[in-house]
Order: sequence, then C-alpha cells, then structure tokens
Amino acid sequence: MAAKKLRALGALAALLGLSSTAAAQQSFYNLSAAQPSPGVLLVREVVQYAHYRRDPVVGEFRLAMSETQLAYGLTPRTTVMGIVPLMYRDLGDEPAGVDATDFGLGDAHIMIKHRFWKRDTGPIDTMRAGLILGLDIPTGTDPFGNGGWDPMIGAVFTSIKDRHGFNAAARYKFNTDEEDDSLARQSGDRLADVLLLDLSYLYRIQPAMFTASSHGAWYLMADVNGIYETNGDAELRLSPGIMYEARRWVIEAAVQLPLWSDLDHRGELDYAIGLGFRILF
Amino acid sequence: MPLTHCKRLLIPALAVLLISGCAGGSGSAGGPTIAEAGNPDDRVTPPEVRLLVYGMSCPLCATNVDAQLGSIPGVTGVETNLGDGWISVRVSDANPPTRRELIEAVEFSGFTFKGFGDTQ
Repeated sequence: MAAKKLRALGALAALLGLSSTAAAQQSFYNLSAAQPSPGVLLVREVVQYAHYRRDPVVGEFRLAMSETQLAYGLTPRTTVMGIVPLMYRDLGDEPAGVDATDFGLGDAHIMIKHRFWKRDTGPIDTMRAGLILGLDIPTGTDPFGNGGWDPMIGAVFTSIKDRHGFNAAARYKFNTDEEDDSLARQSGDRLADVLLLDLSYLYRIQPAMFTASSHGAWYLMADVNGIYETNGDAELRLSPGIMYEARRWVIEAAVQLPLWSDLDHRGELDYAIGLGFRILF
Repeated sequence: MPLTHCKRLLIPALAVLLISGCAGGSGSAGGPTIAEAGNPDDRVTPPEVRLLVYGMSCPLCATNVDAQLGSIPGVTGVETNLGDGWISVRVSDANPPTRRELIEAVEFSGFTFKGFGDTQ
C-alpha cells in the first residue's frame, strides 16, 4: 500500500511540478497561449528540488526532478509538445517496505495546444486564447508512474500589454488507473482526478521600453497555482521568479511556496526551487 | 496670477500632453508611416522594405517572425524593432519577394500584419 501511495505522489509531483512546455512570456509554473511558429522547435530543460512534509505514510521526503520539454510549431495555430521527466526521491529515514531512495523516469506527457482566438492590438500588445489536449504515457518506472494513459483537457488565456503580462490556465486530468482496491480506497490511497487552476503575472523590469537595439528583457514573475483533487485534497501555492529572455534563449529561476492546503492523502509542499533554460531552433 | 492667464497656460500644456501621449501609443513613433495598400502580387523594391507587425510581445516572439521572413527566397536579412513593431527586410536585387509572400510569412508566424512602410 505504501508503494502505491508513493507512485501516486510521484505521478502527482510530476504533474504539478513543471509540466508546462514553455513558450515566450510564460512564467515558470504556468502555461501561456503563445507558441512557436511552424517549423520552429523550442527546447526547455528544467531542474527542480522540492521538499515535502506531513506525508501520511513517509512523513517528509525530498524530490528532485529534471524535465526535458519540447514544443514544435505544426501550424500557425497549433503546437505539439512532449515532456519527459526524470526523478529522484529521497525519503530520509527508510520506512518499512520502501526504498529510502528512488531514481527513474516519470510518466511522459504529450500535449497539443491550439490557439482559437487572438487579437493583436499594438506592436507589443496581444491577447490570445488556446485549447489544450494532453495525454500521460505510462513510461514511469516504479514508483514514479501511475501506469495509466491519463487524458487531460484545458484552456489557456494570455494578455500582454506593454510591460505587463497575464496568463490564466485551467487543466483537468482524468485518472484512468483501473486498480480498484477497496482497502486502498478506504485509506484514500487511490489516485484522483486533478483540476489545476493557474494564474500568473509577469512584469518586464528591464528595458522599460523596447528599442531597435533591444535584444533581451528581464521579467519578474509570480504565479498562484491552485490544485484540487477529486479525493478532496486541495492546495494553493505561490511561485515568484525571475526570467531573462533573449532572442533565442531564456534563463529562468523560481521558488514555489505553500499558501494554503487541505491535504489528507499526500504530503504537503514545504518549498521548491527551480531553474530552467529554453532555446529556440 | 489672474485665472484667465492660468487657463491660457493650462490649455496648451494639456494639448501638448495629449498629443505626445497619443503619439507614443502606436507603432509609428519615430518610424515610417503606413503606405497605401498596393497590389499584393507586386514585387517589393530592393534593397529594403519595412513592415509594421502587431503582437510581437517579447524577444523570443520576434525570432519567430525573423525565422519565417528569413526563409523566403530573395530575403537577405531581417531586423526587428520590438519598440515600434517595424521590421526591416533586406531583399536581393535579382529576386525580390512579392508583398503577398511577406504578408503571409508574418501571418504564418502567428502575428498580425498591419502595413508596409511608406518607403515602398
């Protein structure tokens, strides 16, 4: 039962952690409705270290993740994305029947983003909205994958005006894991569907105004990440960060902190630190 | 100072502020103005043509437009000004692209073409 709960933790951590293949003007933990143009490939490599506490089974644990994210423009409106996470988990004190450390692949994720609306109102200003369809592929090794082909639907809206950027995204992931263990269910051990609601704000701190010689920009960013699971668990996280965006690459750093939580089935995030790099081909 | 004198100073000052504020809000500040729409199948005149594009909200976005315009045969260089939205496209004397090819490349990259500069 403990191993199953840990699979749930690994799968959820991967979903909540970083699974948002980054386009431009996108914060660390949220999506954006911007996307690469046809034939352009955006590669994002992200590493994150997180500490969790008050887990019902193992108490506290640390989770390190590295994600390779690819986004390729298929048409002017449609982008296909792929995400492959690599995970390392350290439980500290070894609970009975569970390895103290684990290292392996998480479940891969493919996603299609289709922009259905846009309004460009100025040289910099734009509003865009897109639909998202995604699917988890059970590539995860024990205990990081949940073994299911889990579909996801969602929508994302982006508004950028002068120095201010705003993103809002909603995603719902259906859990298709068929293991129906009554004992596990009673203990809340069964994986649940997940609703993710993310808001982010980006502020361009430098330059104040773009000019002909502008080749990069610094941004401050802040996310509020909401997580609701159909087993009743709910959590709000705050994720401030900083990003430098050049013409072909981006470096970014963020921390994630708990704002509020009501969790009975999994550990609560204590803090997370993330670093990322994106490059356009 | 009499009230009438204050009004005489205040009204021109407000007018200057209003005009300067409006000028800074569009993509034409300091750049060329938009020319009348020509025949889209006409070839552009070398050595350079300017396009006004909306929606390029960040440096990475501009690279998408550069990539699409740069892939057109006859285009030899692209320079994007994020500040005012004007893109300078250098074209070859021997094989300049048509206006339509440039417009379609901008739209293909996911942004909005607003017009050509008055140098064309």
